[in-house]
Order: sequence, then C-alpha cells, then structure tokens
Amino acid sequence: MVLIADSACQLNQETLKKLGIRVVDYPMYLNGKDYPVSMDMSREDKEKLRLMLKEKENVFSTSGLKEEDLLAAYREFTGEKIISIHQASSASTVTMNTIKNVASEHPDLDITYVDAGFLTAAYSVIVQDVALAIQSGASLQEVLGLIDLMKTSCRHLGVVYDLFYLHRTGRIGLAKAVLGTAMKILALLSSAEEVGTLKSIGKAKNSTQVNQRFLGIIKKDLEEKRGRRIHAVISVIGPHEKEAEDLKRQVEALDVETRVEIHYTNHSNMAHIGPDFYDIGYIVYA
Amino acid sequence: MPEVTLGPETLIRCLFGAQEYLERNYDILNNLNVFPVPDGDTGTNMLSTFEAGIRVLKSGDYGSLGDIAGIMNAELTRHSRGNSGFILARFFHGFFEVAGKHSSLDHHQLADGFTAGLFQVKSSLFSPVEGTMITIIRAMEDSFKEGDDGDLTVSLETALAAAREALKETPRLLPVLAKAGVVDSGALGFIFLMEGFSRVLKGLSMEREQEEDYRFPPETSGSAVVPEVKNFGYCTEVTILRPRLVPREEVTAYLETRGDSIALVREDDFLKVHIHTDIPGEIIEYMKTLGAVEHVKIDNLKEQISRFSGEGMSGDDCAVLAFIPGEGFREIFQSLGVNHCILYTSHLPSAGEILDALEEMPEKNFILLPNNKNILPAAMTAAKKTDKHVAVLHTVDVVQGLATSYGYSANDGIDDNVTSMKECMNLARGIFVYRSNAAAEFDGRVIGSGDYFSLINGSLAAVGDSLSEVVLSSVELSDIDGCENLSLYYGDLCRPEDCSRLTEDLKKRKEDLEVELLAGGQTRELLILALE
Repeated sequence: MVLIADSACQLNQETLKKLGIRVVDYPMYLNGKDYPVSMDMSREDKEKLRLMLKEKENVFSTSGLKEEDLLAAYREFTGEKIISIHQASSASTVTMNTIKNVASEHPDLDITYVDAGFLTAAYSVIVQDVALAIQSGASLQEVLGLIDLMKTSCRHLGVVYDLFYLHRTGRIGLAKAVLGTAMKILALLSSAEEVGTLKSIGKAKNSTQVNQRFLGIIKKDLEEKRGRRIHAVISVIGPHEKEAEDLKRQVEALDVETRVEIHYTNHSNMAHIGPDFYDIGYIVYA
Repeated sequence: MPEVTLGPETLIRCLFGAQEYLERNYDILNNLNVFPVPDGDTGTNMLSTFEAGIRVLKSGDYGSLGDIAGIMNAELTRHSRGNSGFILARFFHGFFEVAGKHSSLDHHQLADGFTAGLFQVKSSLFSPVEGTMITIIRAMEDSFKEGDDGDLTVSLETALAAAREALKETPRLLPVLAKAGVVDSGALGFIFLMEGFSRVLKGLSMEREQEEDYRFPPETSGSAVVPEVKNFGYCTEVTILRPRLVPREEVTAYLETRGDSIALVREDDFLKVHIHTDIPGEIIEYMKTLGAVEHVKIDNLKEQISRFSGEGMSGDDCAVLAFIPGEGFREIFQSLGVNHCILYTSHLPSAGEILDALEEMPEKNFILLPNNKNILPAAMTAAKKTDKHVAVLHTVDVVQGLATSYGYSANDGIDDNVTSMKECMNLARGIFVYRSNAAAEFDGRVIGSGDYFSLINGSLAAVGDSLSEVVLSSVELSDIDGCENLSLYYGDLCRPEDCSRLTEDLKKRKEDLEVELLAGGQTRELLILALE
C-alpha cells in the first residue's frame, strides 16, 4: 500500500522520503503565468518566492492538480493499493473531481481517494500519521478507520501576520486589512465546524499572546477529549521559526505524550495565506 | 465549412459544453461574488440552475429545437436558484421561446433569441442593474445585431469578445465591484457559459481559467462611491401553482416595501418570486393567498456571508460596544472587529444614555466594554434594564478593553465570545501619564503643580518635572519580562513631536520591545502606554 499526497502537505523532503510519501505538486502561477515550483525547491528558492509574494502587485495563484501529474504518480504504483489523500476538497473541488475521473477512467489502478478534510499543517499531521500506520502494516480498512478517527480529533490553528492576503482571498474587507496591518494586529484562525474551512477566532498583538491563546485551546481540547497523546505539525512561512519553536516547547511541556515537528512551508500555501504565517495542526488521541 | 445554422444535435452539444465550462470554473464565480450580496454562491447557483436543464437533456432523446426549448424552459425556471440563477433562467426562457419556433437557428434567430432573453430578464426584475449579467447579454445582442459574419462560429466569437470587453466595464458601472477589485461574478458566469458553447463549435477543449485574471487592484481613492445598501437577512424564493389572477402591480407594490433583489416570473400555471428580505415568513403567507405553494427556499444570507468571509456575523448576532476616551481609539477598536464605540470625555455616560444607545443599535446580543471603572456601574444597570441580551465585561481601562477585544470573533455567539474575551483581559497592562494642574498629595507622595505623574493599577508610580523621565521610570517600574510590545497612545494635550522623540528614546533604551506611537486623542491622560 502506498500513500500519495499533494503539495499542500507541509512535511519536509526528508520526512516525506522516510515515510515513503509521494507528493504531487499544485501548479502555481505568477501574474497568470506558470511559475516553476516543486517539493524539491531549496529553502533559498522558497525565500525568493516569499519575497516576490511580499510585492503586493505580484499575484500568485494555484489551480487544481493536473490530471497528467496525478496519472504519472499513480502509474509509478500500478499493481499496488494507492491511498490518494488530499487537503480538504472544499479548497480544491477540481482536484477531487480530477482524481475521481482518473480513478474511474483507469480501472487498472487501485486508487482510494481520501479527503483529509483539513488544510496545511493539519492536513500534514494527518498525512504523517497515515504514513506511519501504513509503515506499521495496517490494512486499508484500518487506515481508513484511523483517518475517520483523526478527522474528529484534529484541529488547525494559525496566525496571519499580513492581513492583505486575507483580504485578497475575500476573507476580510480591504479597510480592515489595511487598518489591522497598520496596527500590527495578527489574525488568529482555527478550523471551523464546517469541514475544510477556517474561521477567525480573534486577534493578537504579538507571538507570546498568539501562543498563549493556542495553548489554551490545545489544553481545552486535551481536557474535552481526555487526550493522553498529541501529535502535531507546525508549519512556518517567513521569519517565524522562533515563535514556532516557542509553541513547540510549550506543547511539549504539557503533561501528555507529545510528538511535535516544525517544517518550513512548501510553496503552495503561500499564494493563499501570504508570506508571513505559522500554523499548527494537531491530533489529540485518547 | 462554416457553421451557418445550429440544428438540434449541435445545439445540445453546445449546451453540454456550456455546462462543462461552467462546472470547471464555477468556484471562481463564488470567490468573486460581491454583488448584490457577498455570499459566495453565484457560481453554485448558476451551475445548479443550468444543470437542471442539462440533466434532463442528457436523460432523453430530443430531436427538435422545440423539444429542447420546452425542457430548458421548464427546468431552468422551476429550478432556478438565487439571484443569478433567476436571471439566467429568465434569459433562457426568452431565448428558447424564439429558438423553439424554428427547426434550426441562424445568425438572425440567434440575435432575436438574445433580444427576447434580455427582454425577459429586464421585465422580471424590479430594478435591473447595469454592470451585471444584463450588460453582458446586451453587449452580445448588440454584436449579433451589428452584422452577419456568415459563420455562426465567428459571430459567436465576435459577440463573446464584445462580452469580455463589457465585462471590464462592470466595475465602473457598479462601484461595489471597483471597491472589491473584481468583475461582476454573474456577468462572468454568463461568459463562461457562452465560452463553453463557443468552444464546442470551434472544436476546442474545455479549460480551467485563472481567478486572478478577473481581479484588479481595488479602488481605494474614495472616487468609487458605494451606495448604502440595506443588508436583508434571507434570500427567499416561493413558487406557487395555479396563481389566481392578481394584477402584477399589486404583487409588485407588496414586495417592493419588504426587500430588494426582487424578481417575479408569471407563467400560465405558476408564479415564482425571488426576494432578499428580513421577513420570509410574511412573504410566504402572502404568496399563499395567491395560490397553492409548490416550493419554498429560504437561505440565511448572513450565515452565507459569514461562511464565505470567515468573519461575518454569527447566527446569534453578537456585537461589541466599547467606550473610548479619545476618537483615535475608534479605529483601533474597529481593527479588532469591535462594531460600536461611544466616545466619553469628562462627561461619563449615564445608564439611561447607554440604554438608549443599545436600543438604537440593530443587534440583539451585546458585549459591553466599559473601559473605565466609573462607567462600569452605569453599563451594568443598562444591561439589566434592556430587553437585549447584554454581557458586561469588567474592563477598567482602555488598555484592558483593547486586550479583551483580541478574544472577539464575529463568528461566535455571545457565550463563546465572553469566555474567549475574558481569557484575553490580562494580555496587556496600562501605564497612565498625567500632568498635575495643582500641587497635591497622592499615595503619600507630593505632586507639584505642573509635575508629570503616572499611575499603574491605580497607584502612583512615578513623579517628576520631565515627561520623558516619568515615562522611562514608569516603564522601568513595570514588569516587562515576557513583554514584546509597548504602544504609546498620545492624547490631545500632548505634542506629537515630543511623543516622537520619546518613542525614539524608548526604542533605543528598550531594544527588546517593539515600540509604536499612535494617536489616542484622549483628553485626560497625556499618554496611555500599553505593555503586552
């Protein structure tokens, strides 16, 4: 059984390789033209992309996974059971439809499509735990059962430093974005009750406050779910590794078993969330 | 061979192509949707409406344009969804009324179809608005009327080019689009349909378009004046069968006073109404008096907007009212999502004044931030007297009020917000700097006339004849471990240039803090400092 994911997954190359996860890249466009991206991009190239993104006149966008890219990835595993797990379908209906089409048009390929129901860091931690389950010899049914469980115990929290991108994606008005950014207000987001969407959960002035709020929510989740173990992925865009490290330390200091990893973001998030961001996706296990 | 006429088989293929192109791109329309309501459903509504006809066409064998017209007419009209779906259905109603009378369509009949479609759209809408689908349909109609290219493929391509030009005009015609930096989503949806239609004739495959091609820098200069629009709560659609004979004017007069985005379709055997209103129940009751209700659809627009924007109002409509000591704080609170601010100066608001303010505001649930311990009792009295659901958080100064606001989210109801906002109450600490008008003794210390002094937690912290020394001493006296930001809000009695110098000095001395200077506009304190 093999696992195929997409580049919304924030795990770094080394982790992906170790876990045997094959990733298909979302295409990216700069001002309407193809912009070359791949999961193999160096940190320098990601930084170059990030700086270009900071220029507000540059408009980056993505589109659904390309059929030929998906098919090429699936073909590498002809004859094997393929779990094709992707970020919430609400973020890319086209991708979901493309995969379903490929699966129906190529019955020789044994593809099981899974909608992870979460985005970025939360999608990543689900992918990571699914890969570990496969490596430990779980059957397809067991893996699918585990995914259902994870989806009910997963939460995604994030902080956006530059509100302009929330405006560009239609989440807040321009006036509020300009004002908020001028006041150096940070926007906090959380996965919402509706699968695959994010909602605003308030604001903060600095990362200490952000992490304090995040930790409060994590503690509440542990309490409500009587959690004894927490697996988390923190992804970072921009110069926020210190803040991410601080959050990691605080989560690891909780009185439960923890596994927390920080990954510098892959490219595909930047078009939507902007050049300054960090988020945490975590699963609470009882 | 030039395509001179459209027979039934080709027309069906073109309609399937139109549906496919829209399906590939409908989410772009959802993302661009700001008019008439930014609820992110234009693409979904247009696709759902158009698909209703296509589904039936795919399930049978229809050999004449009359058959196709009958299906498309009936299905689109009955299954139209939302404002955009309604307009689309009316266009095709008019178009197919013409098309259904012929065995095939040539250039002139296509033009006549667009004329009839446009007429149907305009006559079913109470207030047709330019800059929408109407503008696109007219542009295509004009193009068809301008001349016959002798090849329908070319005619359609020319009309489509005219439509895309007209699309660029939509932000000029509708300022709300210019402000948002988008073209009209319904207009683009119509173009997507025609693009798919045209691609079948040209033998081209269907493609995914780029959303960014339809965005541009938003108009921020203020030259784009957006008219005040009342935001009604519910998109309501009611279809009744066998309507009794009531003059259209009577129905029109009734609906016009109860909402907007009104459209009305009357056929021999049914009457369908679309309206954005706050009183869907009353509309349905009224429609019952006109005939047998066949179908009702009510969408909560505020919820849709909330879902789409990620920060709209929640179902239980929880607003925050903050009391501010200076006009400068209004913008700052607003940037945190606080909906209402009441300015107080030396006159503190009474319970009666707060009560009046609450009654005047449209929301039903409020969280009050008094931000002054002397306003707190009046706020609590007003909260008890009003019929509205009001929670008072005991914020004793504006710094605490700002920190408390960090926990507010318009997505949540009052109870969740109270919990979350309470958790944020102590995220910042204030230092309040004054100048004494007369010699006085306070906390056992003497303050000379004209001296500067500061209060922390209501206790005297520093006294001196230099503003900068008092501020620096006050910061030293505060526990700044773990603090990252120091915000200085200067009042009306403070000269901005003095504050700028002080800010620069603080930046040098406290390198670990990010120091910023903002205009608070308060009249009592020279400076209010927030440490967080």
